[in-house]
Amino acid sequence: MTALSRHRALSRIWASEPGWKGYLTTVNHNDLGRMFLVVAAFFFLVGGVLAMLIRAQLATPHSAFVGPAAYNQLFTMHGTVMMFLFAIPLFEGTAVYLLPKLLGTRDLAFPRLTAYGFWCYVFGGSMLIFAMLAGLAPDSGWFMYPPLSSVIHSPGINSDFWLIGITFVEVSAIAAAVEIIVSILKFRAPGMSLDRLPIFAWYALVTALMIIMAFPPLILGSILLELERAFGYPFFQVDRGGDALLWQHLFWLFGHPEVYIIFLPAAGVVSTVLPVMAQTTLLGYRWVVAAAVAVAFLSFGLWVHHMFATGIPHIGLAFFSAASTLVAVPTGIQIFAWIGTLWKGKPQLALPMYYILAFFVTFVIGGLTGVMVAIVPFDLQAHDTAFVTAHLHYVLVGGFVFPLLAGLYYWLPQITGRNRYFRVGELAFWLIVLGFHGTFLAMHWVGLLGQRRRISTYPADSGWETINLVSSIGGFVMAIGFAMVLIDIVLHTTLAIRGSRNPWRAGTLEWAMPTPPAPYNFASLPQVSHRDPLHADPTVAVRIARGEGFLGEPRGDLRETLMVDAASGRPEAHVVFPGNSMLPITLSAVTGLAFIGVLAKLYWLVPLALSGVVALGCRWALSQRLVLPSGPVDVGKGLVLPQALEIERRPGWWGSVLLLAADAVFFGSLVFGFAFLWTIAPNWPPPSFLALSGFELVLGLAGTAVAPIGIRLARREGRFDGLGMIATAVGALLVILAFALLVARAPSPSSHAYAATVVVIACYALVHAAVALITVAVLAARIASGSSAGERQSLADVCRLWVDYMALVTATSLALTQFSGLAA
Amino acid sequence: MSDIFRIMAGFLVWLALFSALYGLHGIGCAAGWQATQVAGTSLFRLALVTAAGAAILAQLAVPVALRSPRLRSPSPFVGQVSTTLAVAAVVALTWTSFPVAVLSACE
Repeated sequence: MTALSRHRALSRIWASEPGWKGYLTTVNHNDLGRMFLVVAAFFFLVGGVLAMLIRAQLATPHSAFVGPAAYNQLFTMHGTVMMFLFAIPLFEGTAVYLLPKLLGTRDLAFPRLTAYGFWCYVFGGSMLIFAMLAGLAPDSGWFMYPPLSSVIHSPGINSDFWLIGITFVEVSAIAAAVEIIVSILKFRAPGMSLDRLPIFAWYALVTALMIIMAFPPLILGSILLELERAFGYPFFQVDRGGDALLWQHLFWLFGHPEVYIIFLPAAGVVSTVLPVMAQTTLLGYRWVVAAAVAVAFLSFGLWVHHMFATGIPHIGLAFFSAASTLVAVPTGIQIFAWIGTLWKGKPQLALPMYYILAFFVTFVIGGLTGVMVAIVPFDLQAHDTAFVTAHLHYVLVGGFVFPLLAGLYYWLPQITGRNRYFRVGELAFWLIVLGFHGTFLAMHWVGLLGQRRRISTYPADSGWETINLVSSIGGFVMAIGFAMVLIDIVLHTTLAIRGSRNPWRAGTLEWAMPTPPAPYNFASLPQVSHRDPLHADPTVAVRIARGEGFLGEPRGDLRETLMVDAASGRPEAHVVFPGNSMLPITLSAVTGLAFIGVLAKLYWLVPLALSGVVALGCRWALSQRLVLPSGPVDVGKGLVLPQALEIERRPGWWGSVLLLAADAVFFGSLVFGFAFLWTIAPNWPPPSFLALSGFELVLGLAGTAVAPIGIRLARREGRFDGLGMIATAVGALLVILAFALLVARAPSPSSHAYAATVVVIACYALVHAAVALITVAVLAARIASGSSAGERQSLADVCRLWVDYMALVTATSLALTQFSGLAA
Repeated sequence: MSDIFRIMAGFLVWLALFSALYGLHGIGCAAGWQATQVAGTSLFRLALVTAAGAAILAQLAVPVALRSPRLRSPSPFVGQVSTTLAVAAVVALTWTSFPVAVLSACE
């Protein structure tokens, strides 16, 4: 087979459908990555326009441009759009587009999940934009503190739009995180061991793990606040045993890691682009990896530094103040590694390098003001002033937007296959950087002079007038700069001349393919023996195109790739990906109906939509089946591998482990909330505790014992498999019954935060029993429709994870609820 | 996957111990331990300093374990990164727990 005929055959197999339908059904990471990036850029424009409206209002004292109510919506939506609809999705889009190319594979681990996550993002973001256009936008600040966001002070639907829309978008983030982690660990080119991972992949791995750990507390907080707003469950109302500080803990358990979730991918871009610009390799690769991991973990020990002014005791504040100063150390290691890389190389001042230099200056200033506000006495002075607003913009724009602009100009030739020709970008750079510092340097100053955050107007004799005017002019200069970037990209993609394959002479695999990339990425999968494969072997691109790697001969219409061992990169299994499908967008739309049901208080719609989600989810799971005869498959170069659906740890097993990790963090946050309210909140103990029920206890424990044994029997082929599945189902049903009885007799959840928490814990356990039941039903359906022994065992291993987790949750929930009265 | 756990081990244990110390501080303040005198100091101070000392010892066990023949990674890269992080986590815990010995309790 010639390289051209191979290209044609693979393009036909991997391409999306022609016309507009292609956008709806595509599951290819090239398409979805670009769609993520375009939609994130759209939301950046929306957030930017909101910022300009804010600056227009603050440009002069006593401004009548917008009233206080509209201004509240403006700053709330600006923060919300930039954080949730721009920054995180932009990382997701970048990772979705780039990772398979950097890793030397053909697509991400779960192509349909990528599409599902994308559509959840689009639909969730659309809810918020609809709210804004309808004049119903959230207006309680981007961190939605109760009691301001509670129904007493925000009775309209505005806050509900935030809670529901953002939770929907977070489903997308969790999906993307699972996708990214499994892809990096298991879907790489053969031979790509952990020490040969492209540095961006390390950063993406760390970031995705952080998303898995950080988002569940906010999802929990949003659910609890919505339950309070919709049904009066008083989690945050002090008079009934709640505490508004619980929200702050849950929010900042997410919110502070979020800062690093935004920064670390950008640092990954810097670590990738900077060595290429300096025509050398990254100095201290191991130290940079260690620093990224350290920053990730330390960021989970900083959340209380957003709560220094809430009256927490000194020792508590000092824990977090110390941890906050500590995070400067690994960040400094990365910065010194980058400076050292520049020192040992021969830097060329191309446009990506301009943005990296701007990043250095801006981020270091933002980092230093960060150390200032990490010190409690200073923070008490600067708290809630424009100084903090300026600091966070230095960190987020300097630490995220500038590196991503560097990345944009670095990878633009890869995305479009064209060389930069027009030089609008250089002018745009100066407008953006000078405009940015004009805006936010001034904002530090006015903050130190006492200007509060979120005020819509200020007196004419405050001494802030000129500074605010300078800040607003700077903001508009920056906006013109971003508009010019947009013009530059449009000119580039439409008019610039075709370019060479590797214009920067980079060493990573995304440059070892035709540009713009073909939908299959690599005509054959390369054997990697170096961290910079193109530097080690400049002919690798040609050899890939000739089909000299793995899977070089297309097999029917199959989208094939390889799974590897996570540590060594040794080939482990043959994978066949699903093709284009309407299932992801349909499932996402039906998921959205459940959210809309809650938002519009059409509660009858919620169970209906959730039933649809379950039905479509089962169809999704059942459609994953062997398409080749059972047994090993020839993957080329004399290697024969088992099929991924017949091995003990199939991709779905890895995905389930990560989903359960996020789930466990959610449950852990719920237990933390219960303990927090019990020990800290005023108005405890509650009027009445739940009495111990021996019957419910026995039912629950019986289910906990029977179900895990059942699923282990079901895994075996033979006369006990049917019995095993029945035992598992009975076990799950016993758990459902135990918790249904508990909920039925629990004190009214609206009476006290204790009762509300007990009911939520019971419902959580009940839902997980139902999920375990569904997984067993899927296993039974798969066996009934015919499956190989390996496929059955592989699927049963996935089910076992969910059943075991149900047992763990049931035992913990029984202890927390049934014995809570005794503990009092 | 075990290599990924080796890399995360040091700071995973740090996160658990740091959270436990903060939780113990909350429980101590809520229970009024600062008002109870034991061996010339408050029960609160005694409990937190003891817990911090035990936590640092537990944290020290991580780099030791990661260098042991049984748990050492076969990959030199993973071995170096995981040991570096485990030692850094010991320093981090010592630094973040020093307030229990010097600051006023529950104020």
